[in-house]
Amino acid sequence: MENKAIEISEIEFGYYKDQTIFSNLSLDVNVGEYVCVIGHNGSGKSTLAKLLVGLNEVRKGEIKIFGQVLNEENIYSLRKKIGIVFQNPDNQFIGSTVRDDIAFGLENACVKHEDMEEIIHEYAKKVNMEEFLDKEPGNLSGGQKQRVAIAGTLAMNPSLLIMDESTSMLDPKGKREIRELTNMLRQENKKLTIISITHDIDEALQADRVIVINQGEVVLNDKPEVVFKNEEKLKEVKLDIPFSYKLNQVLNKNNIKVDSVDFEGLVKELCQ
Amino acid sequence: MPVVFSHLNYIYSIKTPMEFSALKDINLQIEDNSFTMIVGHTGSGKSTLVQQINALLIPTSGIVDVNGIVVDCNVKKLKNIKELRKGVGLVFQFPEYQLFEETVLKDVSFGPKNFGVDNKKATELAKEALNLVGIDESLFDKSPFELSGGQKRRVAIAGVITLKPKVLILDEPTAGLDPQGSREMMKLFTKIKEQGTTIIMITHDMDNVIRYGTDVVVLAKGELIKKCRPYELFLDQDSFNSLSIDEPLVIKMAKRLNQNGYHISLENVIDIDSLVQEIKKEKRYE
Amino acid sequence: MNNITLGKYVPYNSFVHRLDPRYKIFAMILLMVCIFLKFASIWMNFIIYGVLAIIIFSIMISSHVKILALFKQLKMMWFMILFILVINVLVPGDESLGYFQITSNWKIYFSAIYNTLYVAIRLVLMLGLSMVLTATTTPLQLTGALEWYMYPLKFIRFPVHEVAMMISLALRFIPTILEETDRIMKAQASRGVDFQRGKLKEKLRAIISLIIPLFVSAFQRSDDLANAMEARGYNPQAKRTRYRVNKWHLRDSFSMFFILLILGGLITLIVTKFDLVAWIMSICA
Repeated sequence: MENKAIEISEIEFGYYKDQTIFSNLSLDVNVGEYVCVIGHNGSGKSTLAKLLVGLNEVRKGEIKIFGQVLNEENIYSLRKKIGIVFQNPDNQFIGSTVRDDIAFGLENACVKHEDMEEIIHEYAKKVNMEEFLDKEPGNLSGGQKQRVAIAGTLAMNPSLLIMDESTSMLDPKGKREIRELTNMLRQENKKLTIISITHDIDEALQADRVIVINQGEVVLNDKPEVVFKNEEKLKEVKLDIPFSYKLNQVLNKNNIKVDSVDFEGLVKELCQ
Repeated sequence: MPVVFSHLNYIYSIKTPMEFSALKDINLQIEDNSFTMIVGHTGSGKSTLVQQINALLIPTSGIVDVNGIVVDCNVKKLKNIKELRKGVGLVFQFPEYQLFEETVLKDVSFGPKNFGVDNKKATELAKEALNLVGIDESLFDKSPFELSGGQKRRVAIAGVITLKPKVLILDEPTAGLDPQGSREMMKLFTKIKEQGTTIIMITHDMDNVIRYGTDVVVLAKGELIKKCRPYELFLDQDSFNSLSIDEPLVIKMAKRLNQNGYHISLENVIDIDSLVQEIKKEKRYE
Repeated sequence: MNNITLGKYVPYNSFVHRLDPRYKIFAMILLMVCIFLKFASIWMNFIIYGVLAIIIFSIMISSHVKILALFKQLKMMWFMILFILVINVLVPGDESLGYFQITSNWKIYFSAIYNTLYVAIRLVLMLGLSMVLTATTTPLQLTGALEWYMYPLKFIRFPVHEVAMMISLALRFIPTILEETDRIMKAQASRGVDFQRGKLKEKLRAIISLIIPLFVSAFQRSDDLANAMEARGYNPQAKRTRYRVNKWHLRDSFSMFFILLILGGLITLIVTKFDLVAWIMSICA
């Protein structure tokens, strides 16, 4: 039984000849893990997502997905195991209606026509979009469109779900909806590996592991509690830290000694 | 001069089956040199409201008065529309999509030229605006399409502020930026405000509302719900809950502490540093 | 932006809505053929037009297409009909049908008026038919039906599936791009661009300030879309199953029978040179 979902070893990549985004990047993700990748704009996070689904090819090194080295021959079969949700809700809505959009992936996977209706209903229900099946994208909010995109990927039954800044163009309500959905998916299927590329520090707090990328290199790679305590390093790569961590630091700097790094813990300490 | 809406209604696709009432009887005054935040759910009418200010949309009934220029439904062809737009800059969401010229400098000077400023003066104004938004001189002659996402947005904003509008409207200017970029952007707007510009900003980010806003306007389903100082939004828990707005964590923390014997005045809490200062003021730390 | 009423799908659940789109295209073509048939006499022509009009209008009513909307569409066509009338009047017509003598060397032939009337009636009926088709069939269904009709082209290596996919993607993105156009126009208008007035040079500039951003964003979109499609396992060469499958129902056979009956009847009338007016007169005599 393979227990690594992704093994990236020593890859080099750039879109053009004289551009290098990754010079020597290695990291891996375990099966069933929920990993958040953070980094500022232009740090190479989204490129990483594209490499993982084989939309671009690495120059050197290799990417293993569930133990198989990604190459041109197995790309279509490997993609069946990977679902990816991109940033722009409009540009990834392929079908003319919610129904057709969820069906698109099923058509590609050659699911039998008779089985499609049931699958579409099942996944539309999962993302709470069942009432909107016949709606067109123009009549949906950004959050709803992203939920449809998630349903479309989930319908293919992936073992690995990649979210490439899927919430960055959404309003707070949309962000919340997607976050709740991700949590639900994790609880439902412990074997589902989720990689979320994000700016949302609050989301990163809930992850099993946070990977900080800067200029194509892994800067930090640890549990959120450990990563967010490393204020200096995060500041260096221009990243924010969650509210309670920051409050803890500012309080300590002002000679109010506290230990907690969570909201309620801080309330308790301050009110002693 | 402030921006005044009175009895303003706006209906989309009027007299068609798709008729939709986007703004209902809006009475509102936006103070001169304020930093007014407009909040509300998607579809609450925020964008429709700000587009009335520079006559991109003409009210179905009621009036908008901007710097003495009155726009109402009777105005078929507004003669002073150019004058109005010269004084009101509007930065749309994802403004980087409006760039089109060959060079950064040309794109930014496009606005002034449209308003009849001569070439030389327009270039001067453009350079000034680019400096203000922090675009390095080495980029002036580059194609705007070669820049990074954050830089593109700065250039697009420069393209609107070149004319030094008295009122600057921003529709979610920080959307899609990383935290650092978004902070820098907000600093830029404060700087512009300090030069005497009135800033009207649509946002979902309540942290920015309390940190930078002087006033906040809440819209829901096309109706004006509230206009107040930002902290006042959070005073009354019940009415606040009904608006379903996210409470900034600093406010939430201050409230929790107050429940446990603190006496923090919410008015003074605008970010983590000010919260800590307020905590320090408490007797137990003196 | 939203006044493009011709060709807008209106969701109802009428009999016509439920018909197979492939059959609807076929039936429309057959009925159009009927409209263009010529019969034994002028009166006969008008009688048949009357019958066809009744049929087409009742189809329109039953599928919730407003007849009033049809005549609103015609507003744009009056000029064309007038133009055809003028041409017909100026061109010497058929003397046997009679004429008005206007001046000593200028006659207006009755045939000119008849011909113009024919064109006008045909135009109205054809418009009605196409409105029924587009109002009761989603663009997606239409594309699917067209793909089915184009199927034989596969044998000459015409990329039928790809073309159909392109059409349906284009249809999907039309509203998105219209919205984008509106936004960019407003953004540039805030920068002082006047899209309505101005000298030619200024107008050109205004258009460039709209077109370039539109292209840039369209390329961005197509790039994103291609990625999304590929990531969801789309491979144009590979076999795919279909979610939307057209099913032939009894109602399709039934109404096809009806349409063929009309066409058959009309052709019989032509072949036998039947003239109702002459026939009645002969009976009365």
